[in-house]
Amino acid sequence: MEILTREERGFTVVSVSGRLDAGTASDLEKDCANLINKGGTKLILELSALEYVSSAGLRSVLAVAKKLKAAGGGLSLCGLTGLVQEVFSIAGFDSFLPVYETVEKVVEKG
Amino acid sequence: MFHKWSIAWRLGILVLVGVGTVLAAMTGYSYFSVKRILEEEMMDKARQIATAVTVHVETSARPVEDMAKDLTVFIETVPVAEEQAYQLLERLINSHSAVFGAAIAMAPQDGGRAAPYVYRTEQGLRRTDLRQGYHYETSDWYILPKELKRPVWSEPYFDEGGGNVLMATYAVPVRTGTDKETVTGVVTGDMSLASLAGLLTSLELGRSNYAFIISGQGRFIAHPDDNFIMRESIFSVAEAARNQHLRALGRKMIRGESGQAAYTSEVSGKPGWVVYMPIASTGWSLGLFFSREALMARVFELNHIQWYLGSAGFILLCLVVTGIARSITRPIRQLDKAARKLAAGDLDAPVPYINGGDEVARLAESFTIMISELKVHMDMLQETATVKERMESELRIARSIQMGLIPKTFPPFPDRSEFRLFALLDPARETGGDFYDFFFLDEEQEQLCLVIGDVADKGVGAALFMAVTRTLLRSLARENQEPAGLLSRLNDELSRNNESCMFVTLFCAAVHLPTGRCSYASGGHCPPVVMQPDGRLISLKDAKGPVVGGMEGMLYTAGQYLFTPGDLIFLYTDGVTEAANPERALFGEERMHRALQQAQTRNTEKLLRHMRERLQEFAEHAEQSDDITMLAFCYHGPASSAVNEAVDNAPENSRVNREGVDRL
Repeated sequence: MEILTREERGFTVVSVSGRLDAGTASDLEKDCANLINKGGTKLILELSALEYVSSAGLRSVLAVAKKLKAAGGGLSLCGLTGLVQEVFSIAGFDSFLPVYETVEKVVEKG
Repeated sequence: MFHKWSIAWRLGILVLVGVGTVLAAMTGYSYFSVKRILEEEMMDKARQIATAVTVHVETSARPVEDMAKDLTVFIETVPVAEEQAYQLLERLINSHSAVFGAAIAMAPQDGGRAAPYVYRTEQGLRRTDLRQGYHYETSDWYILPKELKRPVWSEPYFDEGGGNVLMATYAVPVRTGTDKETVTGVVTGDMSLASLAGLLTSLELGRSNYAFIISGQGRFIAHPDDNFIMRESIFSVAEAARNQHLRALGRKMIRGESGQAAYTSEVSGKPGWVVYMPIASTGWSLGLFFSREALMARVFELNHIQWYLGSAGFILLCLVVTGIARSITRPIRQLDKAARKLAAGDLDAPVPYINGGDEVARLAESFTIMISELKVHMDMLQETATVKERMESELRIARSIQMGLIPKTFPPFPDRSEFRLFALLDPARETGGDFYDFFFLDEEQEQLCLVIGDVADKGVGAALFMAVTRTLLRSLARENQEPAGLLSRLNDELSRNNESCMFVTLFCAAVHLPTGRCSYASGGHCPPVVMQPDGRLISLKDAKGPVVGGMEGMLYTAGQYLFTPGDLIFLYTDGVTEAANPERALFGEERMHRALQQAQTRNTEKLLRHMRERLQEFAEHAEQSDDITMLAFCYHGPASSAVNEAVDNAPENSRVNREGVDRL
């Protein structure tokens, strides 16, 4: 798994590629926690390059979402495709996290 | 054999053998060189002595010869009367101390003259007429010079008529005739040989060594043993001993040769060497005998010191080598002892401290390091073992919690004919927190609740969360008989204070057995599959909802399905679809659907066992990474018409309420 972060008009975009599973989930959680502590409370998870996500991966996303909520911010998901989209959909994450097609759409919406 | 001895022994023996060999070689060399030097020294000495003796004898003989020659000249020139002759002889003897006696013996036919002879006695000079009772004309001393016409030394003899001493006579022919050619008489000078024995014994030759003189005929004329003098000759001794070498030696000696030869003493019979040399004019030969014994005694005397020194040195060396060898091997022995203790498991056995920086000290150091590393390693091993044990015990606890909570008695409701139910849970090594459950929601036992869930974690945490979920679910189900509401309530309860963000995916169905009406809801769980009697599969995807325990305040939509007899619902967790083979390919939904259809059975237990076999076939030897949980429920129809076991062949029933149901 590889994590890349960038700033995009007030949003912090976290791009995750590879496999998000029990072995890598804690890395994502840690990186995001650092970003939140630095004040990046408007976070976008960009998952177009993600190949696989396990329940542990879902859990780390949930943890990040909760932390942002507590910090008065919010988490958006975008770039969901294929199996990853299916997993997020089955797990019902789309019912409590906003999902967009691209980062631009999140930013446009503000 | 040798390599079994201790190092100290081997070292000692090797050094001692080496040094001993060198010492022995040195001693041997010095023995032979000393012997050779002594031999040469002995020969030199012998030659010197022999020269001295011959010179001495010759100086004794020359005055005798001179006197005889002078007298001859005188007689040949001036004829002398008898009295004059005696006086002449007396004067000559008095003036030549070496002359024992002298005579003028003219041929007997040469007139009736006397043959005057004067010789020494203890009482002074004495006169004798040789013609009185002594036929000198047949004596050697008279005939030989007369015939040979030259002066001759006679063989030594005992002059029994005269001085009764051993003597030799020098005889010179006298020519008084007119032709100066015819020998008319002989003038003699006597030399006493009595002093020879004294001369020879006065030589310092050393013990067992002696000198002897033989005459021109080989007779002993001077010898330490008086019995040999004039009685034995070198040839008679050789004859008696049948000794060819001695005979040859005798010939060389009387021929006037000089040299040296091996020789066996004619007195003692002991071996040795003889040095011989002629005594010029007399025709005699001097022999000096040196015994081997005497020489060897000196050689040994010299060598003894070396022997003592060598032996003492060797013993000293023995002690030193033993000391060194022991001091070298002592630390090794100590290490050996420590190593044995170590091998027996005593890691605290003290390792001897060895001074210095030699190989053994370094070995001891390495040894100490090895032990400390061994200790660290063993501690680590023990720690690892403890951690592993703890982990294993946690795994056991997790598994026992999990397996203790799920119902395992099948059939669970044997008296109910409306349905058949079977479930399987194959936990992964590290349990994944899967569970299933089924129970009646109402007192009348008409509503059956089917639940399958998967906690998003592993181990004890997952097992405990699963236990909480199951307990909450059962207690909440008393008030909330609709699955959607039930999940909503459960979600709120679990989300509250859920710091760890643990959640569970759940599928919950409530089946009204008298009618077959089924209401269901999903909390982020993979959709179950309904297998209709004709083999068609329907995935219950319509009831979608978020995972349970993640976020508070979530709403779940309900799905509806109407079971007809023969319908079978297959609930599973992602352990089935995400079962991986060694190439990391996933089992997937398609394979699952195919396997369900291929089972060709409505028997719930057979179906699940068939599915398990397919999964095992697919996974081959790959380790199972997640729990595999399956639950199959087959509806047989309401109790009144329940005895319908031939569901497999049941005609296609009309279906009610298909809204929201995906057909596959």
